Amino acid sequence: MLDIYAFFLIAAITIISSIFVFIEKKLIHAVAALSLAFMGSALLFFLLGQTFIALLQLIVFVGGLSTYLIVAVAAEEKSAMIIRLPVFFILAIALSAGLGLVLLGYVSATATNTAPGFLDSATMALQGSYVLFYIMAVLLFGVSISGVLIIRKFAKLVV
Amino acid sequence: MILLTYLIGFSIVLFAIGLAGIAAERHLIVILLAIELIFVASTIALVSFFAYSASPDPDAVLMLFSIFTVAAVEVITVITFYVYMKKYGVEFDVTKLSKMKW
Repeated sequence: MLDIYAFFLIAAITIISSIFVFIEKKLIHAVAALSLAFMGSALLFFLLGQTFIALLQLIVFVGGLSTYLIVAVAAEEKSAMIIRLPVFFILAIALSAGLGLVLLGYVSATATNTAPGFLDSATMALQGSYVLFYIMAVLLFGVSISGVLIIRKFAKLVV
Repeated sequence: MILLTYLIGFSIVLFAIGLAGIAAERHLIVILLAIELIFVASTIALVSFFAYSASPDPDAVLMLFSIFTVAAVEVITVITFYVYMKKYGVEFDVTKLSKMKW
């Protein structure tokens, strides 16, 4: 029964923070709200028993992309780091408490015990097809670098 | 026990918020952040179907990694747009970005 309450709490926090992405005036607030939404979805994956994908979400989205966004926005805007204290801190503390509860094993969903974990499936899917992943990763890396170069080149022409 | 219906409903709500943000917002960067929300919603739908399936398809991993990489590339695009538009003093309002039209 506890897992349903945890799910509704996580869902409410994620939905509220994703609404805050649009109603906040400052971009840094929108980015902070988006990182809270990322964290809520990672917590939901922990709750579903998919630990590998939750860790991936935490590392890639919360740890990597959100930090990158926040640093980029904070570097450009003046007085950018004044984040509205009560709302974000309450949401962040609630999410961190939920993450702690799930990680310590107090709350866990019972529905996923029959299914194999994501890591097992990942190793099953990856057998023999590593080349595809390398090609995909190199292509996307190239696309992102060339996107940066194209924007850099055409920025002077467009403005 | 969390029902699959709840998870899919949550995913649909998140997707709808992102879609409404794209439709209603004028700030370019916030529109791109809304696309990130849509990626999160699709990830939640995929992982919940994966978790509740009796015999999950391992190829779901491919789809999920694709979503992750596309989301990461999109964030790089967002930051590049933001930094250069700030540098050259371009308005972030998409209704005023007429110079990029064909």
